[in-house]
Amino acid sequence: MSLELLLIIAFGGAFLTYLLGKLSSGVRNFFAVFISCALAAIVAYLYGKPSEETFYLGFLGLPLLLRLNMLSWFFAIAIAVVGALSIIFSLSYMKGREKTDFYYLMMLLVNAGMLGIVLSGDLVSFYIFWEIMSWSAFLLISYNRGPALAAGMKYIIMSIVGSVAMLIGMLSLYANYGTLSISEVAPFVASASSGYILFILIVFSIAFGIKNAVLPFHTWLPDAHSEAPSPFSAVLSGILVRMGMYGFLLFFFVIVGSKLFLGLGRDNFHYILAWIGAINIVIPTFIAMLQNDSKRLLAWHGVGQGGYMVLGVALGTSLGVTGGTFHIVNHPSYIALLFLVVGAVEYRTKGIRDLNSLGGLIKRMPITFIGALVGACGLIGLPLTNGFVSKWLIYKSLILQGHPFLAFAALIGTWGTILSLYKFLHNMFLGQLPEKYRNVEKAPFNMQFPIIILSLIIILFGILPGIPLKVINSITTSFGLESLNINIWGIASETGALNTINIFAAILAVGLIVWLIFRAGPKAAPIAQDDNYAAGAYVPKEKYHYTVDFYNPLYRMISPYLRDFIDEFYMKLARGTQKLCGGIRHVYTGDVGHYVMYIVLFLASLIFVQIKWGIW
Amino acid sequence: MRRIISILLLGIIALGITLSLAKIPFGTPKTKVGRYYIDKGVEETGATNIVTSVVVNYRAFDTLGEVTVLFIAAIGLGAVLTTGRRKKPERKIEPASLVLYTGCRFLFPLILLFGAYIFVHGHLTPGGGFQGGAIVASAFVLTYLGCRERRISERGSKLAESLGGLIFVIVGLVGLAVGGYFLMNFLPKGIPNFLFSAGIIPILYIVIGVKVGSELAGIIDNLIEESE
Amino acid sequence: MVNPVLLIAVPLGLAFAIPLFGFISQKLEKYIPPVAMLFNLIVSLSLIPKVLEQPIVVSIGGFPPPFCINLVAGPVGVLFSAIIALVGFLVSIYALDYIKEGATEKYHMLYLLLLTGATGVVLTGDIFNLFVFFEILCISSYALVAYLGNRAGIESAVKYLIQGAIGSSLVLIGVALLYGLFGTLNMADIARNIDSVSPISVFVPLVLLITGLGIEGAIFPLNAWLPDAHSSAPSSISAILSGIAIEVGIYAVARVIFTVFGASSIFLFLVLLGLLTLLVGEMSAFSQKNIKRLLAYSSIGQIGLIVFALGIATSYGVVGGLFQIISHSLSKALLFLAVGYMIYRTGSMDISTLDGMGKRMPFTSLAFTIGAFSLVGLPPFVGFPSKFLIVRAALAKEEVLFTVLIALVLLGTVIEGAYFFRVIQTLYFKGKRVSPNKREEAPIAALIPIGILMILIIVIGVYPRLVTDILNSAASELLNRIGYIKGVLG
Repeated sequence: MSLELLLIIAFGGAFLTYLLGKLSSGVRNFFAVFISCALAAIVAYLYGKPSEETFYLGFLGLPLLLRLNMLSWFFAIAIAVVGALSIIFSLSYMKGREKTDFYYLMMLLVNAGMLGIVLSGDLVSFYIFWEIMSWSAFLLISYNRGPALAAGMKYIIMSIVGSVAMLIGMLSLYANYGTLSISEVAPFVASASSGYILFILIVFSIAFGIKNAVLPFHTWLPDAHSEAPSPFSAVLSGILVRMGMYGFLLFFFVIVGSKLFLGLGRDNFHYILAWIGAINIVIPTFIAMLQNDSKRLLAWHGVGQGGYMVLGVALGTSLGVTGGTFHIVNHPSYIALLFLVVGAVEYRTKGIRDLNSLGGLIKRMPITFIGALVGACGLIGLPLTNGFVSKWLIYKSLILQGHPFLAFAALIGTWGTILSLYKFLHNMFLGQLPEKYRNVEKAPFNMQFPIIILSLIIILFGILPGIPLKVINSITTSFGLESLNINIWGIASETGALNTINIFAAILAVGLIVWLIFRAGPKAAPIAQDDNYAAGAYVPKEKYHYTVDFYNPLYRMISPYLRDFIDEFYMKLARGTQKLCGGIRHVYTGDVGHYVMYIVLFLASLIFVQIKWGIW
Repeated sequence: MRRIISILLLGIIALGITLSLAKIPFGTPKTKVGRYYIDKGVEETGATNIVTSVVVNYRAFDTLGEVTVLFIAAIGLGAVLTTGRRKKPERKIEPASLVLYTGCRFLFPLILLFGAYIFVHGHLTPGGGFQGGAIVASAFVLTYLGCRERRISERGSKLAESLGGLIFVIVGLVGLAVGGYFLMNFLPKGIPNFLFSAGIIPILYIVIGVKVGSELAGIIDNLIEESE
Repeated sequence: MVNPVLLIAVPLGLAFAIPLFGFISQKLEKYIPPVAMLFNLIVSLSLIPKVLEQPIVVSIGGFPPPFCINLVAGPVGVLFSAIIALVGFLVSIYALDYIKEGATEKYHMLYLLLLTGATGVVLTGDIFNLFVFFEILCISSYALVAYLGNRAGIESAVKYLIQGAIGSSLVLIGVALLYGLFGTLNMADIARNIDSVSPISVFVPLVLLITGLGIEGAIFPLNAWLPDAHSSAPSSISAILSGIAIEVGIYAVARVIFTVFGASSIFLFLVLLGLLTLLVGEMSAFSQKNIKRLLAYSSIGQIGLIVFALGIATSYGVVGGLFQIISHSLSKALLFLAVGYMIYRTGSMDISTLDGMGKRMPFTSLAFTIGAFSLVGLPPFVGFPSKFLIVRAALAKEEVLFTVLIALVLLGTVIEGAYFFRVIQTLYFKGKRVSPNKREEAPIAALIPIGILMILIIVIGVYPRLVTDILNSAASELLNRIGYIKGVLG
């Protein structure tokens, strides 16, 4: 199976889906699911079959290449799986909404674009697929109308800025070395001056940083994530944003090379990047805690988790890069899961995302709750979930490298995550069920199915981290980093021990003890709401518990420091630009006398310059 | 203030043009293309009026363009005026006096004849299609002044304009077919100073004369209708 | 071999003949422009393989070159005449249904003459002949801008006329000075002798020509007529003005600078001028609420990009600039055509009234989207390879100055993206949800050219090889003066 065919199926399938939608929506839905699952199957089949092929020669004399290696396979499988699951989830979520043909077309197009990005063997195809992904994502973000429009604009403007940076970097490489094939350009870059490498890395870091929502380029993300349709939010936050991480890995370790990257700017470049990652963990996580919109809360975590990845990758050690890379694939599993959970709740409660008005849904949507619980555990990084393993690797390498402050920052981030996800879980599923949601039904099967699959993946990789780590290890060794001693339960001791079977046993034991203690105690009995002692005051019929304004005291304390100064700055900049543009427009006054003066002035000044200075 | 700046700027431009003009060798035979036309013009084109030989033979393509420019001006004016006009108001015509009326009718054919003479003899004497055409148009102006109810036939003038242009192009194309060059002078040159000489030049000048005459008359017609 | 003069003679003759066809049947008139342009398109395309080997020099009247007018059908000329014929053909099909009111016969004549003038400008090898054809182009566009006969149309046509007339007189003075200095009007002949005269006396005609031609070419600050004229003309004419007329102006400027004067010392000035034009255009477009004005300002921006690329004056740069001309012609024509029927349906040019168009006119909205994506330079549309080439050309200079300049150019792209994406959101996602059965698609005569333009934008975007051969040899024609002079004068 050639890679070319894979992309033809991906893109052709997208357009075919659109056309089928004109015939019947049933056929279209079936076909969309079929295509996305087929892509996942093909990518899975391609495991361990590295290849490189030229797929197109017609572009301005540049051969466009496709290439499959471990790194691209690793991302491709994540893309394909998340894509397939979100398409399946969409079946119910999108039922009865308008422009569904268009929606499926764009979903599949985004998917195809991302597959193209990771399979590109040269930077032009990389850029082309990157742009296709960007504009189709823009159309999807804008899909929900209303506030989604502003979110879409914010996204696309920043995205264009990123592509501009990438275009400059890419063509500068081309102008200097005459090739854009990744494998050919790498040795040239390796022998370039460090100033030039720094220029290239900074330019590309802007491009990838914007997509990866690294501070200070993150401001598009919370809006875009919360306004997009939920299945797409899952794709967006889970994997589309992580294309930036793919870019970082590609440039730091494949094109520039680990040695050069680590030594750049007297060892400072990667250290600064690590600090950016650390800041990126702390601030967004605490902002997330204060959100009352469930999707916005998750979106801010999307920014925060990106920090872990940057931190791990920027360290540049085997453990760190392994941890960061593992985190990249873990992140889609739980963040997509959580977005799908929100989507399911939204679907059943007719579009409610406000955490203050939900509650008690555990009894109505038990499977969804379990999904949320597993996802939250993964995001926090509790043992027996995959999030634990990747975070553990990052912590471990921070400690081994002797970066106590960075480790502390990462740790604070985890605390923030626990607090905010507790709020998320509690306000949606626990506590009192509001009267109006008394009759909410459980999510339909095609919503539960992706939730279950993702939950299983989280736990599977949490207990048996050896499976993905083996793949990641072959990636990191291809970067020229030291190999880790991987076994199915984790990592053997000489390079940093991790053994999940011990942890598994310990948790089982502790769980048993807790269960026994609770068994021994008296049983709690549910009582009616008006059965409470209220000192004679009226006990309201409606929701009566403390989820409204969760963390309010804390909020009052820290909110002055957690304003998004950067976003404010950008908005100011945008307004300023708008004003400036409005001003510039008045060059065209509408008075033809002025226009004639412009012409005369132009001519006279040219002649004057020539007479005075004799430039020609 | 604005006026002073304008004068200053125009002064600079004038200075520039003057500096450029200062280098032009007026009066010396340096203008090589002009010299060539003077030396070879009669021999190569058969037209004794060298201006004509340049306008209608050496640079006939420009002339075709200029005729087109005039044509565009005429129909452009027509297009704008027809679209802009909502409804034709009733025209109130005050007839001219008998003297004027008779005088105009009397002069009309004479002026036409004079105009025709000018463009038919364009290759021999000063004048040519444009000048002749202008004279022809002046005949129509006179009619509008004197015989106010008269109008030129729109159909006729359209026909003249179109046919005029078309014949010009066709003559050129015949040249292309016969001699391999567009607008080539494919007819015999004849003996200089005779009426039937200079090949296609008289044909083109007649065509131009008719065309220019009808176009200018058409413009006047349009403007008169608009002013009422 | 087909003689390139037919590219001018046939449409000119047919334009003159339109009233005659009108005598046979009024309905016949509107089919003449498509026929003529189809002929031109076929001839231009059939000439391409020949001119790739060697430019075809045709003298008119059968005299040797400096003494008569000659046409130079080199790669540049044929490339442009093919673009003119293609866009002209498609827009004339669009006009079959679009132009119903007013003096339609005169519209079709003026339209065909405008295109003939444009073809003449790009093919001629004689500077005065260039001026004549330029006049044909300009005067017919003045008339066509005023075609609708409303206040805005006439006012902007008059403004255009005033500025255009100033431009024409400057060109005429410039041509006269050149004739005085060199005694010849042939461009190759002037080019051969240009170094024999002192700089100041050549510089004045040069700036006169740049200014005069630059007015039609819409270079800042000479382009103030453009937003008014492009926005108040009928949309089919806006498409032609934006897609062809200003490009032809730029061609003339480039021909004068590159071939006639070989003025390599003003290239940097050209680059800066292009950048300024681009930024002013894009920034003015940013806050526009009138859709046609927005497109008009965007044309200024694109022209700036073209001038910038030509000013780089390496073969990469010129190829990029010419490619940008192709991409702008196709994309902007498509945008104006799409917008034409949207405005027709809503009766307003205000962007905010276009909401829900995605449902009402799905095909037209798709066309707008593709055109806009292409202008912003997104792959896989034609704007991408052209922008790619321009950026590469700037970076291949390997000067910090050019890196900074190209960053500023791309900043213009960001602004352009911002306003185009906003319009796209309005088309598809803004306003109330409209009921799906409220379809008011444009008529088929409009959809065909729109569809063809869309296909071309995608096909050339995906397979730029289609045009790169002719672009490469066109660029070498512009950069190789000696070759041009030899080709014409032997």
